[in-house]
Amino acid sequence: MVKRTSSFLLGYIVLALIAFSGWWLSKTEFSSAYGLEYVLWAIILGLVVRNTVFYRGVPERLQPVFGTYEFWIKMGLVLLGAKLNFWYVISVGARGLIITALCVPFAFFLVQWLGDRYGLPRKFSHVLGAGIAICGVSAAIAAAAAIGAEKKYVTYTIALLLIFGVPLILLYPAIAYAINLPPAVYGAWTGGSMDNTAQVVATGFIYGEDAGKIATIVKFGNNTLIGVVAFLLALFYATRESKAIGKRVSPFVIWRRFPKFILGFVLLSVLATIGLFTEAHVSAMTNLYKWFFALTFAGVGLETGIGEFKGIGKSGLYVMSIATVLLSILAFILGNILF
Amino acid sequence: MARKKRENKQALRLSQDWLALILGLLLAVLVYLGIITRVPW
Repeated sequence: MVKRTSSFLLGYIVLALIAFSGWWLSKTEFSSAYGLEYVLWAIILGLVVRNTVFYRGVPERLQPVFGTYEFWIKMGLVLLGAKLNFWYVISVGARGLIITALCVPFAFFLVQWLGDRYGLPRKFSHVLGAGIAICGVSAAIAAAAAIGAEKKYVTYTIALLLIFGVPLILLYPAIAYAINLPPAVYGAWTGGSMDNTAQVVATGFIYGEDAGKIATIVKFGNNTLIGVVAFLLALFYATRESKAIGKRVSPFVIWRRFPKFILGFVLLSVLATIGLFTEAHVSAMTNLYKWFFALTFAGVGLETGIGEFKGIGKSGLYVMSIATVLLSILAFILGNILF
Repeated sequence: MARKKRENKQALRLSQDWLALILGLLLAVLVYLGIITRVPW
């Protein structure tokens, strides 16, 4: 018990130290001169620690703590709602849903098609397809549960999503700065094409606050579809391969998989719109969510081990690379049209 | 056993959504009531 508590404590100390160092580095003159945000520093520091100190893998006792980044981002995103006007959320969200409606089936069936061409098992293609098309890790897990896929496909998908996301975090803003992309288009592009929600938020906010907000809202539209995709996949496998899951498919899964924290985000956005919060309130909540984001990005870095590529095989890498590039192009075009 | 472990993990992930929602709103309430005022950044 004491051992468990102490390893939990140690894990949180590492996480908090990286988050704090990221914040501290972002306040230096060097960072100010080059516009390097805490977001980037926290991820880079996390990555460095993961691939140097923990290059042989994160100790099993620390793993659950580093994995808490999903919790921190959710709490941060609830608080972000207080900063956004509800009608703005609706306006961006509606356009985001159009991008989602086109990008999700495109990505999913593209991965299935590519997977068939490169000889991936269908279930791996579907777990990977759900991960790329929807919100990364949660969607991959939901899809795997819906179709009864083997655990290794989830592990491969999570590794692919996290590792492929990292260069994009640097590449997207670099391209955007090079072509002077408007923040709104950049946000839509990021939210529509990147997979992991935490990485989307990071990539968005690196290009500025407006870009970050839009990327987050567009990604939310995408996140809400997680249950729908899990339901459709379960239905597909239940009818095509009745032996595959052997349990009843209920539309209740749509609600069960719905990311509930989005309700908190919407509620705070409504309360902010009716003028409940003063500037001081919003400022306190903003700083709170920034700390939660810093913990999140430290965790994302710590969870991304380059060595995890082992075992995936070249086919998985090819499918992931092609799907990522094509989805990015589609989201870029749609972002330009709609924003 | 492995299946049960996976189901537990999924249940945890789903309840994490609710926990994040509740704690996020609780923090907002504490800020609104003036219990949390200035957060350093």
